[in-house]
Amino acid sequence: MYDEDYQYIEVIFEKVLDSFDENLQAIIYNRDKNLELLRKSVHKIKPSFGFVGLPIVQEKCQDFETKCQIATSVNELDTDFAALLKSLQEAKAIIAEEYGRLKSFNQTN
Amino acid sequence: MSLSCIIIEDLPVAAEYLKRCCEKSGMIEVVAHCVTIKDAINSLRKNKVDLIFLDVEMPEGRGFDVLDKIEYSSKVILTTSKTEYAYSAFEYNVTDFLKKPFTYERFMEAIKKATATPIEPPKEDIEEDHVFIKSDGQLIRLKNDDILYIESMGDYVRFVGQEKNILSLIQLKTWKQKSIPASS
Repeated sequence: MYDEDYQYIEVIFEKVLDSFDENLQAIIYNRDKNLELLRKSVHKIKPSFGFVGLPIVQEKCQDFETKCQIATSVNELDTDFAALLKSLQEAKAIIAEEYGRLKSFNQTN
Repeated sequence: MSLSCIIIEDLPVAAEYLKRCCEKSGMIEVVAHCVTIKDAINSLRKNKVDLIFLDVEMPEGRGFDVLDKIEYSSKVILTTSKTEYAYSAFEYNVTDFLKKPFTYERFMEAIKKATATPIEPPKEDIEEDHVFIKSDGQLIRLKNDDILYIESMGDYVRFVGQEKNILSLIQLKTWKQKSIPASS
C-alpha cells in the first residue's frame, strides 16, 4: 500500500494514533447509550486497523458490529464488549510501539 | 487528463490515504475534504467536480444523504469497510466501491472505470405514465394519474396521492430538474 515509503507510513501511524483515544472513548461512552450508536462508533474505528497492518483487529470490529445488529440489548454483548475493548487496547499498544520504531528508523535514515 | 474530486470521509487516516492516492495518480486534484454531511453538501453546491469519494457511514447519517440533497453529475466512488450497500450503490448509479483499506492498484481501477464511461447524472426516471420516488430507502413507483399534487417542504417533497402520501428527501427544484424533460 505504501511502497515502502517509511516517512509516509509514519504519517499513517501518527494519524491513526491521533484519533485513536477519541474513537475509543466514543465506543466506551456509547456502550451506555444504545446498540446502534455503539455499532457506529466501532464501525468508525474499524478501518484504521487495516491501514496499520492489523486486519485481524478490523475483523474483530466487524464481528462485533454484526453482533450489535443481531442483539436486542447492549447487556447481551457484555462479554464480547470486554473482549473487543481488550483487543483495541492491545492494538493501540502495538501501533504506538511500531510508530516509535518508525520514527527512530526515519530519524536515522 | 486532469480530474477534480471531493473527498467525503470522517476518518482522518482514510482521507489521508485517499489524498495520497490522488496525488500519486498525477491526474486527480482534491478540491475539498469534508468530514460531515453538511460540509459535503455545501462544498458540492459550490464546486462542480468530476469525482466524489464518498464514505457511506458518516456520524450524522449515510453518505447517500449527500447525493439526495445535491444535483450532481460527478462520478461517485464509494469508500467503505462494509460491502452491504450494493443495492444503494446501484440505485445511486455509483461507479465503483472501494473497501477500506484498498491498494493503490485497486484505486486506479476505480479511476479507470470512472473515466471510461461518460459522466451523466443519475436518473429518477419519469417514464410515460409513472414516476419513481425515493422514500425511506425504497424506490416507489407511482402512477402519474395517482398523484393529486406535489408539495415542497424545504428539503423534502410530499407526493399527495389518491390512496397514500409519500415523503421524499429531495428538494422540489432538484426533483423537477431530474424528472421533467427540458422540452416540457
